[in-house]
Amino acid sequence: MNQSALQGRLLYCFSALSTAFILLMLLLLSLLMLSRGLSLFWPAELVQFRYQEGANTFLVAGEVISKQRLSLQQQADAGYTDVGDGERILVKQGYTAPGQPSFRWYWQTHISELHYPAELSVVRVPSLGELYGYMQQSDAGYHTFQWLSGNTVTLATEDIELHLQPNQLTWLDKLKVFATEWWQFLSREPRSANSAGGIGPAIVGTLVSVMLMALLVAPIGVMAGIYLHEYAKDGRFVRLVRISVHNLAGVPSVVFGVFGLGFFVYVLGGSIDQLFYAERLPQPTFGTPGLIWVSLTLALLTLPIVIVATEEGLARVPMSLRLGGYAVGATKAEVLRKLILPLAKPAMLTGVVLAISRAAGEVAPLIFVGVVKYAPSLPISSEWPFIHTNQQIMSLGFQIYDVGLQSSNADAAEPRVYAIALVLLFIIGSLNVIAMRLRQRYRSQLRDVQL
Amino acid sequence: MIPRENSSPRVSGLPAQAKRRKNALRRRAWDILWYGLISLAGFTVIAALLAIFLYLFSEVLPLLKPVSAEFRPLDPVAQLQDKLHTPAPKSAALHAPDQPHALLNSAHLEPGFQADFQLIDAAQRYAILAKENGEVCLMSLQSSQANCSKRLSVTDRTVTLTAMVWLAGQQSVITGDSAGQLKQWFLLADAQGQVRLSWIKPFATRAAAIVSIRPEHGRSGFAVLDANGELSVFYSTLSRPLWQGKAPSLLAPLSTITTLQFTANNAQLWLYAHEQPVGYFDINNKHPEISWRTLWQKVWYESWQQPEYVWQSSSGAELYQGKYSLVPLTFGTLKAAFYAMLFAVPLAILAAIYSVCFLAEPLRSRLSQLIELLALFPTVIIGFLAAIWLAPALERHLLAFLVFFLLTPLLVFGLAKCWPWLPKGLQQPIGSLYTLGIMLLVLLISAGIALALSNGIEQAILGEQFHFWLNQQGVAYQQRNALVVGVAMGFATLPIVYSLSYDALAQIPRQLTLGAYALGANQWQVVQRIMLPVAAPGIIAACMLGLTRAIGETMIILMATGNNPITNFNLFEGLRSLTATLAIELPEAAVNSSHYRVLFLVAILLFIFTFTCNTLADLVRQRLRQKLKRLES
Repeated sequence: MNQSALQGRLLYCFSALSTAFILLMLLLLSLLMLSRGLSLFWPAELVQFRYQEGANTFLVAGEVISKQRLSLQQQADAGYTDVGDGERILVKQGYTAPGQPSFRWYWQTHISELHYPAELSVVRVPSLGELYGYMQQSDAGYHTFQWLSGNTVTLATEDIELHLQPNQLTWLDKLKVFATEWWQFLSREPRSANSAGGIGPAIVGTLVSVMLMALLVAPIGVMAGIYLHEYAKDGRFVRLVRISVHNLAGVPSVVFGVFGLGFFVYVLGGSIDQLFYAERLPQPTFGTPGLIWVSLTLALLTLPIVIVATEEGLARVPMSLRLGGYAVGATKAEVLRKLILPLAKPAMLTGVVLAISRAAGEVAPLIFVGVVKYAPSLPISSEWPFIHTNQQIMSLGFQIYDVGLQSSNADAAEPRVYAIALVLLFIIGSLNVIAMRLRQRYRSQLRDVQL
Repeated sequence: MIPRENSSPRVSGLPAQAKRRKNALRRRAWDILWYGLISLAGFTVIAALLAIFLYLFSEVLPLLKPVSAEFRPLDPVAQLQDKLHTPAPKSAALHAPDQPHALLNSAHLEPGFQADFQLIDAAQRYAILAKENGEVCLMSLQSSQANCSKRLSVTDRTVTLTAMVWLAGQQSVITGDSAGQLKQWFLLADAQGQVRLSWIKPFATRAAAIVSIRPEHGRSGFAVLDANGELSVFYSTLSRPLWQGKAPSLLAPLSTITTLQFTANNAQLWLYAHEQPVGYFDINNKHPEISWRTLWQKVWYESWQQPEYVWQSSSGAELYQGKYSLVPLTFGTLKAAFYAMLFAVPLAILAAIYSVCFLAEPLRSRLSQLIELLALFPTVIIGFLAAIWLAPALERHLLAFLVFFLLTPLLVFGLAKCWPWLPKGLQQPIGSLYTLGIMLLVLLISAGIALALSNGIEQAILGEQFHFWLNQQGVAYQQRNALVVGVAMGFATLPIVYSLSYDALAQIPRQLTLGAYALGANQWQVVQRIMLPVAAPGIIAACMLGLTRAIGETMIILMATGNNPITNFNLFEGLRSLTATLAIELPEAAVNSSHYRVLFLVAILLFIFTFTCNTLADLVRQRLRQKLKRLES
């Protein structure tokens, strides 16, 4: 057989294999995100069973979260005996009694009478979380709820955030519940150390910080891009600056965070405090992490993206256009303003949008300069100056890190993180779609000019 | 009088001209304003660039500054006033600190052991007694009959012991002798749990006999006075003195200085003659624990059994030596980056080759757009998935994963071997989506086989899960390990390596490849002889940029590793990187402390490294572009 033919086929097959593998991973990643993120608010079937623990038995109601099978070795290591084949289910049983876990593993062999009663309810009360059991009677304004253990509790109607009997919901009803739950998730405040409630403040924090960043970076970035491309003489110094700017994009974002903390927060913020807020010292006003420093750090981080995009946009505008402008006696500023910029505008906008999308997903540098796990108030309000630039903020990215890894209630927090990640991906994805659209428009415009 | 009517054309012309001139002036002004604004923005950016660099350096600079000291004599008249500002430490305190009680009366001692020096730790567990001839006796005060549990000599017999003190923290002892030698000794437990006084290291020898040694407060430095009146300041991790100078000559009765004392913040070193303060040195010695040696070499820290690379910036203990070796962190960064590149580079380059060499438009750009979608995933999401989903999944199916990685290439190799015998319909459309479909199928089949096979092996042969078995074989397995990081970070660096390699390959002028095909070369020959060599610089630059990306990556490493500073290449153990250390420790570091400045040093290292790497890669890519342009014309 021809040696090089085989080599050719090998190369072909392996390169196809790599591509297929990457695509498979992309698919897997997307599916994982979508399924985990979307299933959080889809009303799950409620299950009820009798569980035997030692001599006594009791009833359990809740949602089955996952299944697991422990090998004999694992059973032995963990000291489990009498657990049958080692299969167990994780049940979300909600609040049952003080001190009881809201998630618990149950061994399959000890489960009997497993069924899905139609009347089984899930009730969400802000003070207790989710309750699984039966709604008994409703007086005017009050409901009596009974757990499977027989205990009851009286709930005021206005306290009940959600009351569902998922096992008898139709598909359409479930969809409605799904939509309202998502809306509440997006709009409400977080509760119980971010493991319940909504992510409204985090979305607001992300958007406000990123918009403020855009306001800072767009004019400076665009103008610096114009300077480097149109005004600066093409000498060694400018080349050095250009290379530096380009490579600033490759500097780890965490380094910008270090700079932000040291320079912006301590040096700049500290001096502002001494100059303008001396009466409040030692209580810092700006000399402490806050929104303005988050935005400034992000602006520095994304500056190269805007500059490079601007320069590329300017480079694509044909030289003939400029020369034509000069030929009819226009000044440089006029040529730029009237001829070049309108054509290069989509490119610059693309740069800004991409910068925003990059900034929205950034976490590492923000840990230092003002993003916290819980901010008591929003950075925007109806009181002057409307945007409170010295306040600490919450952000989606940091929520993912914090809720995902630092939460004390991991079982409850994990599905929420998938949902948060989905929201973040949605924001970044839509920004990129906008950028793509802009780029296409820009290309077609340029084509018209060249024709 | 000139009639107005006659002048009217001139008059009406004047405003037009003035208007034009005004107009021109306005346009000039706009032009200049515009120019000024834009230049201002340009210079702002340049200034910002410089500011980043200079500021980071300025924070690190104090670490590198040599220790300086300035003598301030105490005028006997002004002494009283001076005392109000900077009171000299009480001379009574000179004696007491290390000799708490008359606990060591001679009844406790070994008969015949006349102790000239005695040290007792604050918890009163050990006493160290020493004679002038260097004989030392270590007593355990807690055992019922106190006697020398260990005897040794801290000098060679020819010289006499002249000073012996605890360093702050009372973990180690410094001895000085008449030959000017300074030695450090640790209290270390041996294999039997017996505490011994172990010789650790000598310090740079002084020119004359040691007169006095004085430890600093709260850190492991000390000042030494020798018989020539030479003063020197040491730090326990460094053998050379940080500073040395001559004690000033003073008037007769106070000219021989006998004792030293530090103020509580170690900023002043007071000199005493006949227990009278005679003056002090203002010492600027803020970061003695940081030096090139402690950052990059093995250091023998107090209560450690041997010299090690340690990063341990804080602890609950009050008197604590900060341990700032950058070696474990740098190692962790490189380890993570290495495994990430091992995963990403082959996949990315092969995929780029597939897109450019075997696919035609519009499929080619569709595919590249699809793969570049990966870059949209914020690293915090990838890190989260790696920690919460991938790490447990890998732990459960570790063997299947390894089998999969061995099996798939084998299967594909087999497929390539018997390609000619495949049905014609599958063979024919090279560069179509069919092949991708086949490969997807291969991947799924391989995954299925790997799962079944590994289950079989685990149940039939090992009898337990593979990672338990590994642990029993002595291979440490942690759930969040370098493998997880490698896969996750590989995933994050893949799009950048892919798209840059793609660019490099796609830039190759078509006439080169077409010419080769015309000469009868097949695809492999074209790729091997033409495309890869021509695009090689670009591909290498792509890998470099991927590497800097991996080195600078923070969130994935922070989330998907255990963040423990281990120094080994075990694929199944965690690591701690420079970037993650910054993210964890900087918010808690006290401003302007040594810890804070070392973290800035880490930031600078990352900055410089990535900046240089990127610049190099950029230059390579530019040169390649120029070369290809020349080829094309």
